[in-house]
Amino acid sequence: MMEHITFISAGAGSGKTYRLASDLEKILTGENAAKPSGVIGTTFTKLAAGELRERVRQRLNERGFTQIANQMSQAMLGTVNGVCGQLLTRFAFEAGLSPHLKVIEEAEAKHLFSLAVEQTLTVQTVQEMNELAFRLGQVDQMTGQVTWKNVIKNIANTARANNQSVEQIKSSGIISADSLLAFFPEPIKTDLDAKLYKAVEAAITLLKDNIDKGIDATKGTKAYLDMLQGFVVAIKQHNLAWSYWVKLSKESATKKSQAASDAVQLVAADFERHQLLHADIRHYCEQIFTIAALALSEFQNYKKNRGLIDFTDQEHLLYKALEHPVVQEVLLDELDLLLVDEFQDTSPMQLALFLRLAKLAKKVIWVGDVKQAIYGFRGSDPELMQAILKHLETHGGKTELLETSWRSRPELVSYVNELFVPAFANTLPEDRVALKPKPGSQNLAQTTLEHWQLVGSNKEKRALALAKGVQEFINSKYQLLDKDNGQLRTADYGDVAVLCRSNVNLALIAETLASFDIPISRSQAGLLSTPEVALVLAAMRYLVDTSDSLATAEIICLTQGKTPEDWLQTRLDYLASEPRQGKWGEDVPLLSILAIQRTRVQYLTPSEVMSQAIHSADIRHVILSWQTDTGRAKQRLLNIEQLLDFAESYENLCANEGHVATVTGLLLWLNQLAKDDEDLQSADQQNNAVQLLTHHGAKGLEWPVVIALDLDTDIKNNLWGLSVKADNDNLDITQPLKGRSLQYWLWPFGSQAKGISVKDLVEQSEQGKAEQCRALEEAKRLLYVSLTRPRDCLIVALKDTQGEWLNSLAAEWMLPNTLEEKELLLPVSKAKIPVAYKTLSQDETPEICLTQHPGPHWFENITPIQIKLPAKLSPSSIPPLQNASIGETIVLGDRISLQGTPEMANLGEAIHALIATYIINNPAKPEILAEQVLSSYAVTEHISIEDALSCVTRFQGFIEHNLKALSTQVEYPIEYQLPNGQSASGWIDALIETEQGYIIIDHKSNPQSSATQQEVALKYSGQLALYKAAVEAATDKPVVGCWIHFAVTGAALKVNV
Amino acid sequence: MRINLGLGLDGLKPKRMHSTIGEKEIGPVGFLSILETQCGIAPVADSSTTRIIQYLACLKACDHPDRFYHQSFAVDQFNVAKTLLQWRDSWYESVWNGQFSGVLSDRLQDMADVEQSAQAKVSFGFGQRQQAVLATLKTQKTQIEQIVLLDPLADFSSLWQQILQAFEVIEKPALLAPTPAENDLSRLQNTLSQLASENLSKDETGSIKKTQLKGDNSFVVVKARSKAVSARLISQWLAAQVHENKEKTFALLTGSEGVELDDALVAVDLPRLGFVKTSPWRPVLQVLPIALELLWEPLNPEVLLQMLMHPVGLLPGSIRHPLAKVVSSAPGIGGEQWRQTLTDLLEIEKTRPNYTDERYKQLQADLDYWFASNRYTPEEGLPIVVANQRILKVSSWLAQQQSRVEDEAMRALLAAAYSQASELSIALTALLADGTAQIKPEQLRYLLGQLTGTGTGIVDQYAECITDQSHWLVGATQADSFNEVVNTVVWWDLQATSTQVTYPWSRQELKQLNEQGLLLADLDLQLQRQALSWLKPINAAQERLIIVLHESDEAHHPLWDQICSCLENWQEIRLEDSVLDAEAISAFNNLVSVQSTYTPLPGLSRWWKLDSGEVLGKRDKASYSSLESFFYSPYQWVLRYKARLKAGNLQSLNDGNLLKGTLAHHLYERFFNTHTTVLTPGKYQEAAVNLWFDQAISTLLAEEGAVFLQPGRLIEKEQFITTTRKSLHTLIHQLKAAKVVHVEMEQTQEAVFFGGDLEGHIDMKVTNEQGNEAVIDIKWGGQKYRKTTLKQNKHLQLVTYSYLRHKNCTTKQWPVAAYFIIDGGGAILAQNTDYFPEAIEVKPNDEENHAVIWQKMKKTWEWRRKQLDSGLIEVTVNGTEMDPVSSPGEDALAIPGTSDRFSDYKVLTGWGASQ
Ligand code: SF4
Repeated sequence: MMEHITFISAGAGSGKTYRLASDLEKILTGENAAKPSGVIGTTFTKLAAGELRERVRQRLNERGFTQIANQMSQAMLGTVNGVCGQLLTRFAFEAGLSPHLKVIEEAEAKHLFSLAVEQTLTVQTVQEMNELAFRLGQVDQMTGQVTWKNVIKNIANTARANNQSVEQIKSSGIISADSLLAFFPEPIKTDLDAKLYKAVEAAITLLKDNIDKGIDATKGTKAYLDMLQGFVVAIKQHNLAWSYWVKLSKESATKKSQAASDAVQLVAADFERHQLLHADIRHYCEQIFTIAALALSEFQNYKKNRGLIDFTDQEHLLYKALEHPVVQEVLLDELDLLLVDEFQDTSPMQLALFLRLAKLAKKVIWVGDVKQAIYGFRGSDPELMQAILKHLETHGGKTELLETSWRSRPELVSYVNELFVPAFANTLPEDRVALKPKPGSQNLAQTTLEHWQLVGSNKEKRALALAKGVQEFINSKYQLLDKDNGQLRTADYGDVAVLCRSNVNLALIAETLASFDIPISRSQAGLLSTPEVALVLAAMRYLVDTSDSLATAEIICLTQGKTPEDWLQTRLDYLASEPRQGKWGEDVPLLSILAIQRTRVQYLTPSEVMSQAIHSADIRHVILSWQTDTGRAKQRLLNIEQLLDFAESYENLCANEGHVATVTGLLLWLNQLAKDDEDLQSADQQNNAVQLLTHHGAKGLEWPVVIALDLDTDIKNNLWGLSVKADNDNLDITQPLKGRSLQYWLWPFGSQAKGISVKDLVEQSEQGKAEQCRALEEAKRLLYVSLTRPRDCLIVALKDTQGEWLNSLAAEWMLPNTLEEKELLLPVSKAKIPVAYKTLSQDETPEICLTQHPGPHWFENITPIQIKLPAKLSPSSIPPLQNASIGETIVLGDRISLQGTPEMANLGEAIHALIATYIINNPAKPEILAEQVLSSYAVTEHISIEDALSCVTRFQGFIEHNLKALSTQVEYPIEYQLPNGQSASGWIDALIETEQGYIIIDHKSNPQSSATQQEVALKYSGQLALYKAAVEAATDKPVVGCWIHFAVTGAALKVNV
Repeated sequence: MRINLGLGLDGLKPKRMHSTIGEKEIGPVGFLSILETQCGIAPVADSSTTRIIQYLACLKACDHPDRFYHQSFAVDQFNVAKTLLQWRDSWYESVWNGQFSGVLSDRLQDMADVEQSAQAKVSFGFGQRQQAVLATLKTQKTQIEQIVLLDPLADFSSLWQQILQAFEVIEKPALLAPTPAENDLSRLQNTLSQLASENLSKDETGSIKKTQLKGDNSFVVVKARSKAVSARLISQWLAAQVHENKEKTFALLTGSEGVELDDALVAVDLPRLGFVKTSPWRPVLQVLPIALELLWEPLNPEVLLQMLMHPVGLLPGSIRHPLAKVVSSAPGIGGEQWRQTLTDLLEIEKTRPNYTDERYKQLQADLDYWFASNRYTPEEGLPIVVANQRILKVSSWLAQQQSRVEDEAMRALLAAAYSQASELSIALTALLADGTAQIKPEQLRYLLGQLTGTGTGIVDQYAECITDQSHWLVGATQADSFNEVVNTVVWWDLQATSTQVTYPWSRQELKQLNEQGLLLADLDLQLQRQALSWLKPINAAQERLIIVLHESDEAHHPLWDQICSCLENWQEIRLEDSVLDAEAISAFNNLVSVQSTYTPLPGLSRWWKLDSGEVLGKRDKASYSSLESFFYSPYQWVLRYKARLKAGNLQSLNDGNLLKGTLAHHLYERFFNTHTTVLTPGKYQEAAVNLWFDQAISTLLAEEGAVFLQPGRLIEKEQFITTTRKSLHTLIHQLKAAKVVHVEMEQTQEAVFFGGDLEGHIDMKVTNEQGNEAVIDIKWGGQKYRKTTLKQNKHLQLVTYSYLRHKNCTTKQWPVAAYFIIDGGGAILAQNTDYFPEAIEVKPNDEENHAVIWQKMKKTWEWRRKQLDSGLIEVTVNGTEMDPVSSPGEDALAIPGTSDRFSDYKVLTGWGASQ
């Protein structure tokens, strides 16, 4: 039963968000309206969730449904993980979980998993695996570290995303090895190592001889000999890496000594039949799966004991919790709408979850575009999705198509239609691919498609050519339609986006564009090596570590624009002076300001130390003076914010993991980020900068002009390595994850690629072809995403038009290839669209005369001159008056005896409270009140009720007889604005109104001897004087007396203030 | 007494102070405590953590497998207790009496069961306190004559409403009326009020008509990326207003980041408003956690370094900092350097002017306690007794500091830390009493986290005032607190706060709770009320409203969505751009930013020229490293050896290949020093060597390489051990093959050379049967690079060692030299196989013996010396070009164009145009 499910197929730019917001508005306001609290909605990013909530809220407001708009905070909108997290917290008890689940981010989970892996390993296994990894080439080329731990992590992740049990994981190892080895020839029994050793030894002798005798003096032979010598020990120890076997099977000495290498080649060529290779592969595959399985259960335990869950857990736990009858009952009752955005990007596990939730929801909307499923590499499975959508169609679900492209101009819409309708014909009908241009739009004369041929012998030169193209394009004053007002206007750098395949390429393009003085905006690492951040860190170090003389030097360099040339002499003079005067650099004003702040470091958190450093050294101001270009200045300014954000992340991380957080810890953490290339700079959307992104990163975004690069690259498939096997054709919708399994095909020959027959066999196999096919489909989808980003103009910049990726569309007509071609004929509609072709070449970075900018501005400095006082004055902190004196002393009775050792403050408050309540209530049965108050303060065992009451009655006698009170206010609030700007507020214990004026009384339960009473009473003279002033300021009556009442000792002392 | 009661009035209030008596403006929390005082009820002293622990005991007592919380309780008892305590507390606030009757969901039934004991054992929560007051008010009076409600009575909870019945209550309209002026502000106020009452007129499509604003500066929106910058804008503007507008009131409303505003105010010489930011990460609050972390095995060197470099510490900085230096180069405790440093420190103590035996012993004992006590693995857990000892140690230090320190801010922090320590001790003691003898690291961390909570603020950041301009500027943290008009409201950092407002119970349960007589607030009404409360500051503004939004915020405030949906054409400032480009910000009385003076970053330059080279004289004693930088990167030589610029120990922990190399060095040194017979001819005992190795390496790692013992690095550690072991065997084998009979490790050699005195530590000096010497330099990796140096005769380090021996040995020969590379299993690299027959032979391109190379070095040295003597320093960094002077000419070393890959001085040597 899927009648309540609607799938909205939303092609690129088809106004999905608008549609969602209006659908939601209708659902929340129509008949049988859903409650916002009954809505669950997932989006791809947090940002998207926030946007959706805002759109809906605004729309509700706009339609006059303000109350419902206010309730939108109750709707559960977020990423899949955010929503899972909220549901799990809601159902924590049903799921048997902690109600305060600490969700760990991916980086943290990765770290914890590696701890778990270790728990399952013995030293022996580690050594064994390290050796295997070495022979099988599973070593990182850069670091020399073995990589099997990453593979294990990968297996574990994928296994979880596909709901694999421990048993399934283990058997996957065996099956993987079996299936891979099936492509290998039968192993032979011969001891190939021994044979090879003999051959190599012989060859070495021969070669040495040849060289020594001068028969062969070629470099090649020498190098070959070096190689052999390097291998000998390993061969002898049965430890030669398999890639070296391949190498030995191919390499040779130069002609004169070829005989020596022939023998070696012959033996080595048998490597595919080496029984140890077979054994290594089998052992390795089985081991990594076994370890992964064990580590996974260890990992789960580890997190459980710490109340931690990661993203995948959230999905699993919720999936399970949804089996709980109570959970089902509650959701059936409450869940009005389930909405899933970007449906095509859900992982198999998430799909299963959505199917379960769909059963409980009254209405379900899935929105997505299967053409834009480009996260195969992250584990989503487009085929599974297609199968489910097919099921939906055949079982009563509705499918709606959004038909119009609201994004691109009509020429581009038709172009994309004609490219992709045939390209997707194998999986999708035409109506799921083609979009209509937005109504009322007109064709324009501006080019809508350009083909730039980049000429250049290497990447660097082609990048230069591209930069030139970009510059020319902007200089040509291309006219585009403004999104906001629909008018034509001239394109600017900010209208252009450049899409690359990889981050490496992106870096090159970025650098090259920058060298043309083209403003760029891109998210990139290297925050810590920017001068602005170096300055902040130096200032922090200066604050915390006085021994850091380098920090001082760095600050001088960066803030004064001076190289060591300018100040080295002073440093050397300082070192030479005897005795040394203070610290070097103290005379620099900025450093001396910083130095003052050093004492505050002991109050500050790590992130506050950072802020303090920025603030005190006025770093935001300093960095602006480094350039005249405001765009650059802004980037620096934002990098500082980024750094502060990092500091905050550090503290959050510490909170989550229960670590201590210190400045040292922060600096170490930042350094680690930089080492891992994760110290991203601020990626602010600069107004006037070319945006640089990867094709993947462009998803969901749009620009007037898009330059697509790297379309001539190859398509990589996932044959070697980890993959998921599934039978999506026979999908059981109730168990969508059934029948899935993992496969890991190990590539044992390192960087060797030729002369390995197994490789060809595997690639030509059924599975090999299927995998290539899958990769091709994914490539087409990515291309669809890329080519549908532009609003006005698509520019394809290529080295040549041959390339697997571009050819995946099989549309030879798609690009103009000559200068004369000004129009491109679309093959089906026969429409013509305006196009351009150019070749670009540029060998060197041009001399740029930097445009003179006025330079960034900043706030004017204000020098402090004001004297500031604490705004609040606490009455009790006011020192005694010099000239206060005791006026009279009235003995009210005997000292009350106390039992035990009461806590005096508490006892005092109890008597205090009793006096107050007694006076307020004037009770008929005082004992009951006293009993009540004393027990509330838990002092009944220290003072008897009679004694306590006598404290009260004698006080009452005092105010009535001695003071002639007209009325008494107890616990009376005062607020006092002092003439100097300060203010004080407090409570007067008793304020007595008499005919002459007010009398102020303060209770003290000081049990000390009456001898010290005077002294004690005088201590409060300052406070009393303040109260007096306050009362007089607030009323028009004078205060005629201030008293201290000693309740326990039984005395009242008048204090003259 | 008269009370003005408003829901948002417990914190800062956006109003000027007046002198009054008998009148108090207060929020619910303050009001309850006034009522308690008036009723003679003692305040509740127990902290929320204590209450959680009390409730936890009740849950534990009631726990059995059928309880709904059973499973969750087993995994996280603290949070279960915390959550359920909140549930029942909120029920009490909804007039629960602690009992349920009739048919109920399991959960509610279980809660009622627990409550039977909890009612007596858990100290009162807010609702119970309210109920106690309510009960007392039935029999007692107070001196409160009147209560003025600043929010509608209906907005108060039912329980409050019942309490308020005991008083004379006057209701004041909560929302101030929109200003009558004809300006944007009033348009905004009117439109939003109409929107709130769903009263805006609609067009034919059913959409409301948006109000057009005119742009008269009465309503301005500022969008900024940086909070610091927007705070500065507001402050800068206020600073200009202060003199002209003393009679007016400016209110700053903000959420949790007010301290940022305060800092900005200070920067423009305005008084702070007293916003507070609490944090658990104040250094004093970290002293205890650090001290406890040090009790775990394996020792975490990062925590150790944190302890040694912490701004406050249990040991004086003069003790900790030298140790930090050791840890940063050899992470661990107890290595050679560490022991030496301890000895030195104790020696220094002896020479102090105020030396006493007692203090000396105390120091000794302290060092012992902090660095040599037992550590415990997470598996066995930390004995609570030991933990308590440590806590005691910390708290007595804190107490001692408190009595010493004068500074009030510090004293407050110390007091907070002291209570953190004592609460932890109480909690642990309770666990111990419950029969738990050991505690796991995560449990301990959890407890500490709970106890520390959100931490404390800083006392030295209080609200300030300036004489004669008191309170023209007022602050607020809640929209709800605006009950009086002010001239200007700045709502800074308007952003969405809490996400979801729902009850944790199902609709069924809510129904049952209602049937049980609980009066739970209607959430829809609450949301409506909340939405109205946002209008309070909007309507309070009489002349101007400024809203500051930050682009980094994850979500917008709903109020902003309201503004977007019913208004158009407001004045909006993109702050960073406006400031940087010096647009006159008309909305802020034409505030203008000033051009910053252009002081470009120091650029790259190939040469630094000093007036004279006098100060760049020779170094006292040269070493190979100093020679190397003298040749290749004289700027580094000057900065390091002459200017003595060095980084502190704050942020470096030796790791990676550098550390691996050092460790292996030490290991081989120990080996050959203790195994003098291993090279005697015949087969050596591999097993015995392995035995020794296993023991030696684990000690060594603990003492100097603790980073490799950290969880997560097992594989790397094993790879290291295997490699080092294998290489040791290879080394022995190689030496034997070379018929080496004698080995000396880490030999210090001194000699006079062309530049004065030279000193070097030769990694290995070996002698073979014939009595011929060779010197070996041990390297962790970089085989390829070393091969190149041998090939190009650039193995200067080896030549230097060879020279030292040439000078010092009787035969005056230049010994053979070789590298031993550990990584990869061990290999000897030499220019020929004459001495080491099994070495990897790297034939040099030119046959030059050591003496010739040395001669070249001499020539190069003289050339550099001359440069320096004339005050010229070459800066051989990337981005600069060599010039004719950059080459020493014939018969000298070839100087590479740049050598700055591992430079510590990157910040000093200048910046390229693209940086
Ligand atoms: S088979 Fe498909 S349509 Fe039928 S009940 Fe199952 S999920 Fe629903």
